[in-house]
Formats: sequence, C-alpha cells, structure tokens
Amino acid sequence: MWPFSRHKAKFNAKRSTIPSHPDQPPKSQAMKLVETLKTSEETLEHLTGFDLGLLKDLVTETQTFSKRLEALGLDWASGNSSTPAKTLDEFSGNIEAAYDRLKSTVGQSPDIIIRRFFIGQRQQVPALLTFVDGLASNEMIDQDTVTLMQSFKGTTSLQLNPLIAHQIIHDSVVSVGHATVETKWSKLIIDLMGGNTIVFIQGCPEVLVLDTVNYPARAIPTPMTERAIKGPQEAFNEVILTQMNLIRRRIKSPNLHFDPVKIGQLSQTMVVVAHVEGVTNPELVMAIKRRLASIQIDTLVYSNTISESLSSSRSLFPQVRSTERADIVARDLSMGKVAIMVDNTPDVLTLPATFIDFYQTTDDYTASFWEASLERLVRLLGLFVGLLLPPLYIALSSVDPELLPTKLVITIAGSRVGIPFPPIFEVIIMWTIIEILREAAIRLPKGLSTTLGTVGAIVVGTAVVKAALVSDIMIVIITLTALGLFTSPVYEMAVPWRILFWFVILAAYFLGIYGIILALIVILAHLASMENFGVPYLSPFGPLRVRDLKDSWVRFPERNMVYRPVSLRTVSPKQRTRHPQKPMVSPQLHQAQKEHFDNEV
Amino acid sequence: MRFRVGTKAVAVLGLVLLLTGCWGNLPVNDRILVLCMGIDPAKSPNQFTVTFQSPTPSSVTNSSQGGSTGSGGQSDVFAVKGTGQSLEAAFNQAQAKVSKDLYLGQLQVLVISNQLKPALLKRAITSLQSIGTLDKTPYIVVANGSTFKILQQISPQAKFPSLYFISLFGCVSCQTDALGMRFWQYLVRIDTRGVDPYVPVALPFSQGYSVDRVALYRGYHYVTMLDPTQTTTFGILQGLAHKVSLYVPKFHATVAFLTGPSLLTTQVVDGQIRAIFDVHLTAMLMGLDPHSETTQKVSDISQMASQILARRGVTLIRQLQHQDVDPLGIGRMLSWQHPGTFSHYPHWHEEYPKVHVIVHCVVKITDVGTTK
Repeated sequence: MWPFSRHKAKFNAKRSTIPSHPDQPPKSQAMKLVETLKTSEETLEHLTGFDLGLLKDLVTETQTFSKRLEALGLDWASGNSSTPAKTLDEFSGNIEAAYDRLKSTVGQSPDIIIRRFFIGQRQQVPALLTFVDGLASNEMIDQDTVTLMQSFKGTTSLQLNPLIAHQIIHDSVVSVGHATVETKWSKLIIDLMGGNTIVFIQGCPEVLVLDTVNYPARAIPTPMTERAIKGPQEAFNEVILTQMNLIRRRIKSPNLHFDPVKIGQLSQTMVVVAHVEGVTNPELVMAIKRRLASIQIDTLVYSNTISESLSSSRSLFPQVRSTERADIVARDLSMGKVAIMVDNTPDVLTLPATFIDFYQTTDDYTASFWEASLERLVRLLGLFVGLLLPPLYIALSSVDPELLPTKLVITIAGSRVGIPFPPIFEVIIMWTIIEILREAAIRLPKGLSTTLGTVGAIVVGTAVVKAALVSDIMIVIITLTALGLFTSPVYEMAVPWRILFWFVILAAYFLGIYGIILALIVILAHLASMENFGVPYLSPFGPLRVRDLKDSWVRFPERNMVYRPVSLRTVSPKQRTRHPQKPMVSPQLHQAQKEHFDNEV
Repeated sequence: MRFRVGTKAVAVLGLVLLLTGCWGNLPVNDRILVLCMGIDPAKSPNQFTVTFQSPTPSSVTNSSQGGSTGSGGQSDVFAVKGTGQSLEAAFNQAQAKVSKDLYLGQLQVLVISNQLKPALLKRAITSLQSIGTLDKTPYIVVANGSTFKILQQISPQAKFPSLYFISLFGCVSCQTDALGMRFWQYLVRIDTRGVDPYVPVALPFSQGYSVDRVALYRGYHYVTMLDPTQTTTFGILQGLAHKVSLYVPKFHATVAFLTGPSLLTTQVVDGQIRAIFDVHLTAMLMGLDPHSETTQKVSDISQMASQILARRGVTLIRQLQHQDVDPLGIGRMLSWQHPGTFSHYPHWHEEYPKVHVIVHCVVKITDVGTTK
C-alpha cells in the first residue's frame, strides 16, 4: 500500500499550480518526444535487418532524463515560501520531491534503500530515510533511528516549528552518536555513499545526516610484507577510521592531528593527513596539504597514486615510504614526519622519506642495539652483494681477468668450459628464471608457491647446469644476488635495485671494473641530488649529519639518540632527556627482605 | 636548453666510452691464459724466440673440479713458440698457431735466458713494458741456457710451473734467501743509477726446480751467476736471509736460522768512499753436545761465525767490485747519503771498484736446541 497517497495527491495538486519555469522543459514536450520515439520504434520493428537497440536505449534514457528533470523542477519549485531553495543544489523541504530526486538518480541502484515513514503515532509527520545497504548499520537504523522516531510523541512541536524539526529530532529523538546537518544535495549524496543515513523531514530544509557507518572490513591483520620477529604485530586494514584508531592508541597526545582531505572527483576518497603539532615542522605540513590539494583526478583508489604526486622527481627510488605497520607510522610521526592515510588502502604513507628509512625495520628497535646494528650492516652487505656480484663476475671473467688471482681465474675458466654463452647471457638466463619464479610464486596460492620455489631452485638450477647453459659458479652468484637484493626490508626499495642491477651489468660488460665504478658514481650522484620536501634523500650521509649517524647503518643505544633527525627540521628537536639519572641503581634488596622477615616474626 | 643538456650528456658518454680502453670483452674460457713466458735468443742473429706456456684445457677443467695433477700422464701445460725480431712479431707468430686469444694479463713468471744479448734483452724488456694487459707484477727468473726446459719441467709440488714460482717467491720466510724479484723491481734496478739488477736462477732437475743462485746483470749485460754459498752471503748482505746455516768446523757445531737485518752506510773520508755493512744476525746453535756447552764456548762460536760471515761478505763484495757489478746498491746508497759526492761521478762503474768496503757482522746466538 502506498503510504503517502494522500500526501502525494496533495503535492501533485500543488505541483499543478506551479508555473512552468523557463529553464525547465515542459513535461508535455518531453513526453511528446518519448511518444514520437516509441512510434518510430513501432514503425521500425516491422523492418527486418534493422537494429532497434540504440533506439530503445534512447527511449529509456530520454524517459529517465525526463523524470530527473521533473524531480529537479519539483524540488526547486516546491520550496518553503519562507526559505525558498535558492539553487537546484539545495533541498527544498519537500520529501516527495526528495524522493523523486533520489529515485531518479542514485535510487536506481539496488543497494540504495529509500524509505518513507511517519514520525510520531498520532500526529504523524512524513519523513524520508535513505541509506546504502551494506555500508550502514541496520541495527542503528532500526533501533536508534526509525523505532525512536516512529514512537516520538512530541510531533506537535514538529508541526508548529517545521524549520527546526531537524533540531528537535537531533536533540530529543535519535540516539545515534554522531549526527550532522546538511542542506546541499551534492554533499548529501556523498555522505549517503559514505555509509551515513540521511533523514528528510517534511517541511524542514535541513537534512539530518546520521553517522551509521558500518563498513564491511577486515579484522586488524598481522603484517604480511613487513614482518617482525618481536614487537607489535598489528597492521592497518582498509578502513581509515581503524587506521586512525591504531595510531591514536600509540600517540595519545592531543597534539596528534588528523586533517581530512577529499580527493577524487568521482571517488571522493577520504585522505587524512596526520602530524604531531609542536613536533612536525608546520611548513612541511602545509606543503604536503597543498600538494594534496593540487591533485586533480577522478578516482583515487590506491595510496600509490598520490605518492607519485608527493615525490619531487620521477626517480626510480621511492621518496615516500609506504607501510602497513602502525608502530612504524607512530614512530615516524613522533620523529616529526607526516603520515597520509587513504581510505580503502591498508598502506599508510609517511614522508619525507630518506634512503636510510627504507632499511630500518621494527626489529631494529625491538632488539638490542648490537643486534640492530649487525642486522643493518647485513642489509648493507646484502645490497652490495646483490648489486655487484654478477657485474663483478662479468667484469672479471670477461673484461679484466688480469685482476683475479691465477688460481681463481683457472677455476672460473674451468667451470665455463663448454658453456656456449658469454657470462652476460648466463646472467640474463638465470635472472629471467628468477624473475619468472618470483612472479609465479606471488600469484600462486601460498602452498603452491612454496613448492614452486623448491622446484625452481633445485630442479631448474640443476638442470641448467647439467644442460651446460650456465656454469655452476653462476648458480651460486645468482642465488646470492637474489637473496642480497631482497634483504631490503621495504619492498619498494628492492625494485630500483633490481632495475639498476641491469645498468651496472651493462656497464660491467662494456667497460669492466671501470664501468662498475662509473655506474656506481652515477647512481650515487643521482641519490645525492634527490630531495623531497626540502629533505636530502641521502641524509644523514649527504649532507653529512654526524648526529643522525647514530641511527643509520648502525644503531646507537636509545639513550644516545637524544635528538630527532636534523634533516626534518622539527619544531622540537629534542626527543628525550640527555643521559637521565637512573633512579635506584642499586636497590637495597637485602634490607627490604630482612625488614619483611622481621615484621613477620 | 634540453637539447644542450642532451648533447652534453651524449658527448660525455661518448668520450667516456672511447677513453676506456676496456673493449676487450672476451670470456676467460675463450682465451689462452699465458702463465709463463720465456725469452731465448733465436738461431738467427738479432731475433729471439718467445715461448708462451699455458695450462691445457683438460687441466683447467680438472682444476675447477678439484682434479689431480697430470691426468693420464699428460702434461698439464703446453707451450707455443714464436720467433721474430720483436716481441710483437714473435707473439703474432705464436698466435697464428693457436685458435684462441693468447692472453698475457695473467702472466705470472717471466723467464729470460742468460744467453740473451744485451740489445735483445733491452728490446724485449722495452716491448714488455708497452703491453697494456701485462702488469708489472710477474716474477722474473733466469734460465741457464734455454728457457724451454724450465717451462716444460713438471714439479710434483704444483700443477703449473707458474703456481710453483708464485708459492716459492710468495712466502718470504719459507726460503733460505727471499730473493724473488718482480718485474717492476727489476725495471727499477735497471733504471736507477748506482744499483744493478740481480735475478734468481731456476735450474731444472728431475724433481722440479732448484732456485739457490742469482744471476747478476750490469744493466742489460749478463755478468755472472753466484754459486749457492755466494748467493747465501749475498742474501745476508741484503738482509733477506731467513734460513741460512753455517757450519763451524772448529767446534763441530752448526749455527742455524741466521736471520737479521743488514744496514748499509756510506762515508766519504778524504775523498775515499767507504761502504760499511752492519749485519746483525740472530741464530740457533745446533749439533753441540749439551754437556760440553758453556757460555764461553757459545760466545766463541758466535764470534767465529761472525768472522766467517764477515770474511765471506768482504770476499763477495770484492769479487763484485772486480766484476764491476753493484747488485748491493752501494752507489744508490751513496747517492742518497752523499748526493753531492755521487754527482761528481758521472760514470759510477769507474769509481765502484775503488770503494773501500767494511763488513761488520755480529751473530747473536739466542737459543741452543733442536731444528724447528
């Protein structure tokens, strides 16, 4: 049964009195056009070999467009005389117009629920409620909104003061924690799509936006790409609110600010800029916000999309650190960096990032400084081994064999007897196999990927040596290279080295050791020239900041790291007191024990 | 602007690539690694024969797989000869006999015949210096007669002759006299006034090589070959002796492990040049009956050993003066300590025989015991 038939009749009557607006196409003309099109369709149906699909689409589109225009015109024209709708973007207070407008636009989608109901039981005030099925909490809508509004007994006040009806409902009826008011359709639709519930009240141009957001979300997962042996095991999920909660739990200071920004004309993605006021340089925060504001895109789905805009140059090397670990974000924020969260992406960006940031992990701070320093040096060694071992092999076995000890050169020559390819082709063959195995292992289910890795390592490795396609020394070299290049704890940092690896390989092939040194100088010069948001990429090595070397390739004890990184130019450079006195260095355990026993006796 | 930057980048890249000289890209297994090179006078006058000795492919394969020496009784090395008026011509002739590139970058031992005439030797040495891939680190050895015997000799101690000599000269304290000479050291002695080169002599015998003599050169002129005792004395005077033993007949004792520095100083007294060698050796006393051993007796042996060594030293130096060859570098030391005096002698070899030589030798017996 149509619940508002009487109201609809009333509104239809009222609508008939509305004079035609010059901008509004007359209904009769639109209908005439539709009728003409239908007639044409019927005529053409008898003709064989004619595709009527386009014409049918045109009829449907015209009908939809006609309805939409009708709804817009109704909403615009039926504004309250005291507060007439100034533009088409403002709600008029007529819920029938709102219904038509919603139904002709977003309401065609099956996940949009539009429901009419009455506020109160005796003196009923018509109202309209809409939400996105699945994004909003049904419990909150049923129990905290609809039930309470239907059982509301003070509807007289609503009828007497329709312009403040939203305020009465807000203050006295709904029990949803967070409720706001909006009048513009453009914002209402975005709020609706975000999981909020929109409540229109007849005669009231202000619309209640109830926060009933209840995203279908993953539970807080354990980190998958940045695993740590010790320390917290919490990673971000896709819900930005959860991301903020995870950070807030770690930094409870009111100085932690989350500044929201909307990016994406279509996606309207929520992006939150987090920083700690009083620590982070405000100029840095402002620069990042401006950079974000300048992003003009239709859809923002991945955080990586904005990381390109936040990088100063199109370098191979990442200039924004993307992390899934909440503890790393909290640490970076406390150091004076800025974190950027993008809704629906579990990776939070922290910036400005320096080269050394990509070689620091959670384990570095949960282990002793000895262990952390050792691990970082191993990572550095892994980088050198991964980047330089095959180029050195090529250079020394093809271009500069005079630099090798005689016994070694004889061993290499012996291992290469019968190999039809020069060393560079050996590297190409083996590296291609490694890349294929890696890519396949990522795409396959976990159980299969382990099998694939074993098969690839043992079977393929043995087979290529037996087939005399590559030498056995090359197997050792490529294995160490593959392991070395992936010692980088952040995946993004492994990628540039995998690409530059070929640059160094070619340099070694053509120019030998000289080429390797030349290539390394070029890479180093490039790294030294990079700067993001005024922070040198090679800091603290170039420019040299001796104080910051305490947390670089080696890690000093925490008590020695008194200052935040110089390159970040933080407002508060100190992060701890220098060498605080340790209270109760030698507690009187014996005395306390003796007193305890004496008291018992 | 972008065009200019691009042009500059291309220009720099082009220059870098052209200037490298590293375009000899050839895998090491496609080269013949010449480990030893011998230079002999050819039958035709004014020509020399160069022998390039390399490991055989099968020995290289065995080597990488941990194989043993001389598989199937075959030699682990093969030699290719080339003859010509220049080293380059000889090299080209040898290259024509093999299918792979003869690669000199791994040359470890350079063997020269003592029969090479000075002009030929000079020409060979000059050519060797101009080979880009050849660094100046190979050891240089003299063969008494043909070098081919040395290069073909098999030693059970090492798979390839080059490895034998690397081990021999590489371990300084393993030898009686550490008299190994690298090519660059030889060149330094040739080009420096006041010092003449000496080169170890390798003599093949049934079980390998005997290297207990040195050949003395005056510039490029071969002068003489010292016998083993003279070579030991020469090593002591150079301060390079390590395991020298001396038998003292009067006490029937052996002073062993004579080791110690030798300090050469020069003086000019009334226009007379004096060269003083202060040799301080430590040693062990062996072969003495422990019951008859007394401090006085040890002291007497020590004094006698000192006298014998000093006398030997003086005799050797007088012989060298007589032969007008200065491998001990007395002239060089004079030029350092008395450059004014040295500059007065444009022809040092005319003055060298007149130098008054004094050898002070002190042997200190530190221990009485058994052989190590």
